[in-house]
Amino acid sequence: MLDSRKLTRRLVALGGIVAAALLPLALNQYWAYTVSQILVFAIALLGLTLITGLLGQPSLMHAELMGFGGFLAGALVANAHLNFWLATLLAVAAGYLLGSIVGLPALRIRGLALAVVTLAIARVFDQLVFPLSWFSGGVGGRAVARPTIPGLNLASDRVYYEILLVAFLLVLALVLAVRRGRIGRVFQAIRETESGAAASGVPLTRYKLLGFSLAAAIAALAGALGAGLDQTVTIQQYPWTKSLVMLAILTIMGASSAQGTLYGAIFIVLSPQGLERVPGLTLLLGKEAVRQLVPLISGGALILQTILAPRGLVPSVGAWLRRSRAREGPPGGAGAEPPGDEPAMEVATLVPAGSDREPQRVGEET
Amino acid sequence: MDLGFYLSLSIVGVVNGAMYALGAMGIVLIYKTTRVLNFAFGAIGMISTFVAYQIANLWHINVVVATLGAVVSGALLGLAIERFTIRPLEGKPPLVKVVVTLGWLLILTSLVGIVWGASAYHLPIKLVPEGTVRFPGVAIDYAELIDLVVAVMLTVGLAVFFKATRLGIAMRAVADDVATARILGIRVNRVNAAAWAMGSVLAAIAGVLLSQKGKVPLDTYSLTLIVIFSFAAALYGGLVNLPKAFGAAIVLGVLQAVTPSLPGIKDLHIMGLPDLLALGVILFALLMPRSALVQAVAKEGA
Repeated sequence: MLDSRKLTRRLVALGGIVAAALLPLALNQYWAYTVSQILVFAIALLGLTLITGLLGQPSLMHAELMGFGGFLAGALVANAHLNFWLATLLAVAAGYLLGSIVGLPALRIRGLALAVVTLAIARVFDQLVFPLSWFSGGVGGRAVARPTIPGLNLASDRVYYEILLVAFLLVLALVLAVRRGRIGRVFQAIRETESGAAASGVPLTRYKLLGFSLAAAIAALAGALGAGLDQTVTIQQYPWTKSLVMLAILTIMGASSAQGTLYGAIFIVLSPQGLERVPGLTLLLGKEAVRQLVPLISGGALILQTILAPRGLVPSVGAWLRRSRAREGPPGGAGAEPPGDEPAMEVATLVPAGSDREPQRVGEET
Repeated sequence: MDLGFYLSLSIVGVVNGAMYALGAMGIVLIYKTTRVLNFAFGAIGMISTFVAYQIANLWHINVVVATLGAVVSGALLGLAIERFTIRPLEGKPPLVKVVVTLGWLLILTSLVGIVWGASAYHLPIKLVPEGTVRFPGVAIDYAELIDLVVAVMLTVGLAVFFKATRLGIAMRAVADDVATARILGIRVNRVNAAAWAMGSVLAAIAGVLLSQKGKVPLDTYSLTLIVIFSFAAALYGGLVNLPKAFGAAIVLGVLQAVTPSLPGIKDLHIMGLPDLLALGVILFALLMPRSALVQAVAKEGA
């Protein structure tokens, strides 16, 4: 029975992939571009699930790492006349290295203090690195020619979408493999109790830096592929709130759920356009203000979710659906909630369960 | 080498540092009492400053009323955030509460953007008339003088508050040991609310003072993000040590004022140097032996 369930799940996944691959056939130019953008953000969010969801290190610099990849790939193409794919590869490698540098503070601190440090690092990127004109192309940004592959018409967004889909699936496979494998178990051990993990022989330094490196490399990949999609990369694409929105959205959806990354990316990409289409809203507030509504809504949703559905929207809704299914199901099957039914949605909020106790109590025990 | 030049730069730095120190004190006050790291701190100061701007520059009522307006709106906002979005999360891990403050950061900045315009230019508030006071050797602007006076008054006031008032002592008790404080009859919720209100008032005052004369542009992100400097100082004190945070804030202010004019650095025109220095202070706090920051994080357990 378990096997058939496994088979069903695989078939559903396969069907989903086929449907996703065929999706552009049903879309016009505008929507093909939009779903491509969604994939770019989904890739970036997958990196954030690794570092924040699995390893439990809050990162407020993820959009900056994404921007780093985009700008670096653009600069390598423009200044060093490299092939786009080679530039992307180098940007990913550079992102990996950068990750182990910006991850260094995590070796001495964690939690709240680490979040502040990542915010300060993000600030240095925004103020110091991105304005460098040889790196980012300055205020006007940089044009990036749509990359080519012989035999494929990548100039069409419908075809470029397929490249992004392959990249997304590869990164998803990587993230799932990490999560289910040894590294993922070590990450979770570090998330739950760092001193415990260290005591049982986990080399904290290596694994923490590995987490930051993987997350940064994935973010850089998303940034570079996004630059190829947009055919431009500008500072305006990476406003300082972007990292906060990304973390907020991922937390809302459930920090370690793979579906959450997809829904989160859909929200990030579609909400500005969706809001602009609400009748009268643009007239009432003006176009600029409507765009301002996105962080407003994300922030409000974040607070409501934290109070009402603390495990994240996807896991909470999933649990609710399963409960109601069990209630409505045949009498024999009621309550027969199979363990491990949905490993991809295993619950992990941002927060180590062990830190549930009040910090003050630690002193009392001794 | 013009020593007088560096001296006057340092004075500007001390004044700015005193403003960061006000922010750092607010952050530490809230964190120490309620164990919530308030990422919305800068945004609270920013929206309160916009309230002052509305009163002083758009309604043309005087600046005293405007400053009061900022203080009151800061306090009310702090109270509301604590009461409606922090208190319901009692017993939840600290990071969950931080996520809520991130939500407020997003809400407040976009709210100000919608009401006052995100990219529009806003004329800075003029708290005091133009002019300088001459001391032997240096001249200080009225604006900087009032910054300094307010910062000193608030710092001394806070010290007295923690030493000599019932609420201040209760706050220290709650910071020390919530459970025991509660047993002793301290109303922890009220103390927490007071800490949020007071911290947010500090944010509002720092915001109004920093934005006068346009030293920090009055827009949605400059004031919101200047909080990084206060955070850096607060981190240096391990988020709990007020004197250390205060000292780090002053040092950071002076470094930011002096470094860009140092020979060798002057010609590089490094953008974002203030932020780099703030990160430097944080890294110094991380790497220093017996660092208050590392010890404080280690003490949090888990």
